Amino acid sequence: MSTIWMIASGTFGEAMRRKILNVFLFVGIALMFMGFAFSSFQPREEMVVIKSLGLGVIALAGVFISVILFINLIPQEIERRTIYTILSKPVQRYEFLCGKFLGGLMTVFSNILLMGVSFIILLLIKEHHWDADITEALKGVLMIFFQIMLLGGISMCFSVILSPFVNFFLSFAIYLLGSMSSVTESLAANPDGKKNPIVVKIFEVIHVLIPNFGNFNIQNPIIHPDVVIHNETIYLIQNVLYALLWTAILMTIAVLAFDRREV
Amino acid sequence: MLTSQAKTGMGVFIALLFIVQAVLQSGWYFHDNGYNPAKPPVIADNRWTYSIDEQRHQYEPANQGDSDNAAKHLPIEFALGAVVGFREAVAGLLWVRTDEFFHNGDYEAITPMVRIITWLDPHQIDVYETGAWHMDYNFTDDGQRSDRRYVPLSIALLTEGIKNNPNIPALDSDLAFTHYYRKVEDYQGAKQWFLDGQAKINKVFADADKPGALPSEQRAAVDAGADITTLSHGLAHAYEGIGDIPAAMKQWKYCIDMHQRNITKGANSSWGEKSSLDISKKQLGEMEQRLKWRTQLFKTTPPVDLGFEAEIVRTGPRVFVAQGFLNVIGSKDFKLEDGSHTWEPVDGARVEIRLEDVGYKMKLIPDFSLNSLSLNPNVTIMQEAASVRGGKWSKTIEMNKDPGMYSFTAPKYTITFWFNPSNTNDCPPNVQDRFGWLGEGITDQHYLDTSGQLPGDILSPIPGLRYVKKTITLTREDLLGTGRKVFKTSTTN
Repeated sequence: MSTIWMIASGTFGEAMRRKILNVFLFVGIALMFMGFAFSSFQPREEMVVIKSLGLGVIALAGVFISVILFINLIPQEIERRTIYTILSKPVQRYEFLCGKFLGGLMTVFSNILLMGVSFIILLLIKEHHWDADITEALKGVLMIFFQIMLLGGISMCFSVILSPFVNFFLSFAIYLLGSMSSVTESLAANPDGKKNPIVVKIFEVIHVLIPNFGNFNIQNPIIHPDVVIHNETIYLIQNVLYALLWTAILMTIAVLAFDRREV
Repeated sequence: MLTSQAKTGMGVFIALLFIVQAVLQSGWYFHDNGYNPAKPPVIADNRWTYSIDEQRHQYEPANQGDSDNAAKHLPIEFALGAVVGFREAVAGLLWVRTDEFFHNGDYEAITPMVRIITWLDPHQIDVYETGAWHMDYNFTDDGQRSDRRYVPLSIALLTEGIKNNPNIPALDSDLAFTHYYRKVEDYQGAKQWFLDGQAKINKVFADADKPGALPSEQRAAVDAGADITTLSHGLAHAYEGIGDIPAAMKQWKYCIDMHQRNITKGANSSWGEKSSLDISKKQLGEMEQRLKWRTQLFKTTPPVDLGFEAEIVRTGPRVFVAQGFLNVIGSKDFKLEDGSHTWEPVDGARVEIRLEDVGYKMKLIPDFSLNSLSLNPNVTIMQEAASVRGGKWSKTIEMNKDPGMYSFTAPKYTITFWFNPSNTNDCPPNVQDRFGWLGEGITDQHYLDTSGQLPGDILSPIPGLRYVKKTITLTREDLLGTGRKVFKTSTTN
């Protein structure tokens, strides 16, 4: 475990040296700008716009940070040949892979955390006090983190077997497809039996085979507090479990693939 | 390197996790008949057995509108952003852009944006409200008269908003007050939507008061509490408008109870609540007094002959002066406490004037779609009001500056003039004291109408209403002709 942690710390430190936190700086400035840009709206409208754009900006920035970071983690080590030095030491391949993933995750987490804090500060400035809306917004930021973790797992898994260029587009393609959970679910449903059963089966497989990023989009009731949600805690726990399960699957596949790879 | 046993173990591990995630996601393998997204389950209690798919639908913006049309017109960058989970952010961006259109006076661009935004995020209450308000009031001619062809669109938009947000009374309130009560002046229509909204307020309060109420239910109750002033007060006014005074008084008592509830619960601004409570008490007190004096008056005093007369004078092509007489009697010094008064001719009443194609009847449309935003260019409708001063009324109406709004393509037109005592915009309280809530105190030798059915876009009659109305039918040539000409009666059937 200490080996994994050491690799993770190194990866995190390197990401910091590459000034990846600058992304947070830009997003933070954008959020602050947003706080003053919509004052012409009525207070309720202003909060709707700030929350929707704020969560959108955090999610979008998170997606880009995650993909760009994770697609390069392994190929960069191979390209710079530092991987040979590391693997020549008493470090198992799975430890190396898990360490890199954990380090990447810490980087993404710190970014989302800082963006989330900026967002909450902005909401506090606007609302003047801590209330239920801000707690709800925190749940949204938490779900974005797990969504980004899952996306990182995909990029990491592909980075073992694909070039960064191919990985970039494939990761985004899966993210786009997975974000359309409702579409794939509708296409996979055939309640009246009128659809072609083969097509339905194909979409059933796609719906189950592709990680559903749409599960984590819980921003609508956060933006509109009047929307009544039942079993919210259960849903959030299920989503966290879902993200962890998929990440475990992807990392196990990555470990198996990395084991076969000649490095 | 991993041993083959380890690899096999990891393969089994992956397969197991994969099955678990599939069950967590869809739960399909536990459903007998397959999951039907068209009929998602009603999620009500704390159960782990709901799949993520089943529960996710709560978080997705449900839409009852014409989404296909909106999707076709959505710019590709917005469409892409929307389908990958940034619906609300895209809707927010579009609303910011729409606000710019509003400040630049580019109202025409607003309605398609409203359609697209409410498709993307059907919970944007302000967008429904603002969009309908634009259509009701902001598409005007050179004389600031609104384009009445938008009325069915406004109703369709707000009705869709109500369908998409079934627990939120604010939209019912908006449809009832801003649209039916204020714009169309259809008090029966307003009453129906106010009642619908009030039933929601009561349900929201009941849900919030039950043990184990969700935080969102409690927040909804706070918001619903704020709707009492607009919605429940509005319902009392609507009852008054249809002359159902016992129901109006009962409604003011309800308002008093609800404001006291809000004050007790500490919801909303206490100053605002106290002020609304005082208004409700004042309204109830005045209504009780007025009921007493008016009931006595109509038993002992004969009705006033309004001597209503109306004519239209063409002063040029599409330019008219509507004018006539109305004997308006009221009291400037009616004391509610003792009923003392002096009846005399007073100013302040209004006569309504409406010109429209012969046989025009407003048709409600089923959907607020982008296609429906293209108004029928062949329909001409104009509505205006003229103030009565010294028993005379007159209004110059220039319909020659807005050919897009007034095309005059129909061969015949009806021009209707009416005075409605139940409408407090047309008949102020000091006049209503003499004429009554339903025109009990008026008569007219020629134009008294007791059908209860008012002209315009008003769909439901008011039982017992007495008002005066004169209608003349003119041809297209009459209206487009040159030179001065007076029309007192119809020139065609």
